[in-house]
Amino acid sequence: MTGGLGVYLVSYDPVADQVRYVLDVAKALGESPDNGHATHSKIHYCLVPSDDGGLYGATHCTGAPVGDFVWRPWNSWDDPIRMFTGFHIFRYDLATGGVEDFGSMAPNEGSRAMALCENHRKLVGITYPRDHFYTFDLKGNEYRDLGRIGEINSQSVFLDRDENAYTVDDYGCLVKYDQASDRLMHLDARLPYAEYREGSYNLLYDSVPSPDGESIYGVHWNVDIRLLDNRLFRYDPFDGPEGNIHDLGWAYRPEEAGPASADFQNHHTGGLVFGPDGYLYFATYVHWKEPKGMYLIRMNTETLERKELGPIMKSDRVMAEYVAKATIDFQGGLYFATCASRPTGIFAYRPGARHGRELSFAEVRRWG
Amino acid sequence: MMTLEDELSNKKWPKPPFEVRPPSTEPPDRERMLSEAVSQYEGSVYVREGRVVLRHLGWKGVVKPIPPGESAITSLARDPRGRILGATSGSRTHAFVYDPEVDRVVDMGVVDEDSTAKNSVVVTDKNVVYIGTRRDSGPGKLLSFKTDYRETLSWESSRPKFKAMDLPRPNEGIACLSYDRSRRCIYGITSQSGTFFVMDAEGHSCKLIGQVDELGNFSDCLIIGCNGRVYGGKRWGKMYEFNPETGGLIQLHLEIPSLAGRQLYNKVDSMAVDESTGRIYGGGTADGVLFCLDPTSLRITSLGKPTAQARVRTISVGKDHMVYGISGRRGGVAHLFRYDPSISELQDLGVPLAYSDQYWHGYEFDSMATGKDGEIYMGESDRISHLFIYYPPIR
Repeated sequence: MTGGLGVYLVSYDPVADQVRYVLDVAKALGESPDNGHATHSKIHYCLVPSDDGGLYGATHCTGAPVGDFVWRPWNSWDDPIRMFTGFHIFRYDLATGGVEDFGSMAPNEGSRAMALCENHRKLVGITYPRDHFYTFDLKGNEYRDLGRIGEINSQSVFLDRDENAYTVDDYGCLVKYDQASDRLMHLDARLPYAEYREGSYNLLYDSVPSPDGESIYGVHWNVDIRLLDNRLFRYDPFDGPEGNIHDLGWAYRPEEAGPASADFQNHHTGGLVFGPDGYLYFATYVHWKEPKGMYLIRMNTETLERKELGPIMKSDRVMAEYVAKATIDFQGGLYFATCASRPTGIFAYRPGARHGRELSFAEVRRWG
Repeated sequence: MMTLEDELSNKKWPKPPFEVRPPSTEPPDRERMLSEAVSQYEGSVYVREGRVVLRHLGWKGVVKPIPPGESAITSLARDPRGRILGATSGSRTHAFVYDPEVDRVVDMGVVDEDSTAKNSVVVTDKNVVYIGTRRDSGPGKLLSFKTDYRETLSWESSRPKFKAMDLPRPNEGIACLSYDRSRRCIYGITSQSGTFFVMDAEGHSCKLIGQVDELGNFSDCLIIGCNGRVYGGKRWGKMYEFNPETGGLIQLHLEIPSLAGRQLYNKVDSMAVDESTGRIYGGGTADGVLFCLDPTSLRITSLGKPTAQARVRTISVGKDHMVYGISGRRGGVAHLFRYDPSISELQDLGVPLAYSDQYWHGYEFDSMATGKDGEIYMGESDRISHLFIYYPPIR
C-alpha cells in the first residue's frame, strides 16, 4: 500500500551466486516515483532478452502516487497529477548497462504482457486496463494500437515459429496477430475448460514453446477467480488453418487432492519452462497437504505423467506463495520468480542435465 | 563512485501507511480507517445507482456476435413497438435490432462497408426503418426496409430486404437523420457539404435546403423541437434552425457554452428533447459543458460539466424526465451522468460497468435511446461493442 515506489531491474549471476540491483528503471526513464503520478512500479511479464545483446522491457502501473495508499486507473484517468503517464518501452544493454528509452507509448495505460518478434524487430503486447493489443516497430520507432481485444488481460502473448503472436479473449478464443497482414484475427480455436462451465474467464496465464518449436504449452490463469479450473494445454499452430488445441487436463491434481472440480482453493500454476532434459517443469499451488504453497512439478510431455519434485521453499522453510514465470540459463539451470510474499525472490532448480551448447537468447525466452 | 546498491542502502524510502503487524493481532485504528477507505474507493468510480447490463450483438451462446472492428454502435432508435434498432460503424456497417420481449439482439445484415452510420437510424410510425451511412470519401448509402417484427423470432428469417434509395447528393453520404412524426418527413444533413435536406417519408421526394455552415464545420446531430422546428449545430458553438413553415434555414444568435477562450473549438456534440417541457438539452465538444436551450425564448443556459473530460457524446431524456448522457473523449474512460431538472442537479453517475451478460467496462459510447419502460440504451462504440442497458433506480 506504500505509494511512491518504483521498479528496479535485478540480475542474478549463477557463477558468483550473487543478486545485484542493476537499474532504477523508473528514474532511468525520467519517471521518478516521487513525481506525484501513479508510479512505474512494475515490469509485468514484459522483459525479453534479444540476440542484439539488449533486454527489452515495458513498464506497468498500479503503484500508488507518493503519499497515497491506493490507486486504480479508472479513478485517476482524467487527473493530470495522479494519472499514470503511460508505459515506456526501453532497451537495457546487458554489456554496458546503458538504457535506450523509446518513450511513453499510451497515456494512462500499462503493459501487462509482451513478446519480442526478433526477426521482425517488433514488440507486441497488451495494455492495462483497456486490454488493447499493440505493436511497436523497433526499426521505425512506431507504436500502433490495434484496439480492444477483451476485458480481462490475458497474462501471456506467445509466438509461433513465423512470429505470429497469440493471446486470448475473455472466452479463451485465440486472438492472433498475423505478421503478414499486420492485423488481428479472432480464431475459433479455444483454450479448454471444464464441461460444466460456459467458457468465460478462460484466460491464459503462462506459455512456453516446446523444445522443437512446433508447439506451445500453456496454462489457465485462475488465481483471481478461484472457482475456475486450471488446465494445461498444448497448441499446435500449424496443424490446420487455425491450429489445434489439446486439453492436457488439470495442471497437477493427484488422487489425494480429491476430485478435480472447481472450489475456492488456490490452484495457481505458473513458471512453465522446459528443462535441458526435455521435461516440462512448472510450479503449482498445493493446498491439500502441508506445507501449503507452491510445488515444483515435472511433466513428461509424451506420456503426460506428472511427478511432484517437492515444495518450493527457502532455507528458512518459508514456502513460495506465488510463482509467476520461469526461465532457463545457459547451463540448463531453471529459475522461478516469486511474488505475493515479502521479500520477493528467485528460486533455482538444477535438473542435472545440460544443453550440449550455448543457447541463443531466443531459446531462453521470447516473451515475458 | 556510488553504485545503485549503495544508493539503495542509503535511500530514504516512502513511509508505509501503517506498520506491518502479525495477522493475529487487532489492527490499530489508523489501519482500520485506511482499509475502510480502500474498500470504499475500489467501487466508487462505477455506476452504483440503478443497474447496468449489456447484451451481445447476437444471440449469446447461439450465434457469433457482430465481429470486432465492425460493431461500434453509433445509431440507436426506438420503433413504435418498443424495439431498439441500431447501426454500427467500422469496416462494415450492420443493422441490428434488440427486442426487449425476447431480450436479445439480432444482426439484420451488412448495409455498407468502411462506413459510419452516426445518428442515422430513424423509424417512421409506419414501421419503415431508414439507415444512412457515410464514408471518408465518395458516396454513402441511404437504405430503407419495412419491419414486420419478425426479425427477432428465431424460427423466421431475420434478414429484411433493404431497399436502396437515391442519396440527396449523389457523391455524398448521410451525416445524420431525424424523423418528424407530425409532418411524416425525414430531415438530414449530407456528409461532406453539410447540406440540409427534407425527405418525404412516404413519397420519398427530397428537397435540398442549403448548407448549414459556410465553412463546412457542422454537427452530425439534429433535434426536432416541440414547436416543429429543427435545431442543429455548426462552427464555433453556433446554432441554426430550420423552420418547416417557411422552408428556410435561420442562423441563430446563440452560442453553446464552453470554458473561456475555447469557443473556437466548440460544436454541438449531441442533443435530446424533453417532450414534456419542450426544453432541448445538449452538450459541447470542446469542454463537455451541458446546456439547455429554451426554443421559445431562444435562450441557452449552461448546466455545468459533469466530469473533468471533454465532450458529451450522446444524450437522452428518460421517462423520469432526467437527462442521461455520456461524458468523455475518444480513447478515454466514459462516464454516465444525469441531470435532474427538478432540483437543477448535475451528477456524475460513474463508469458503466456491466456484470451481465458479461463482466465488461464500457469505455466508449456514441449513441443512446430511451426504451418504452424508461430503460436507457447505450450503444458502445469500441472495437468490440455491446448494447448496454441502464435501468435507472425506481424513485
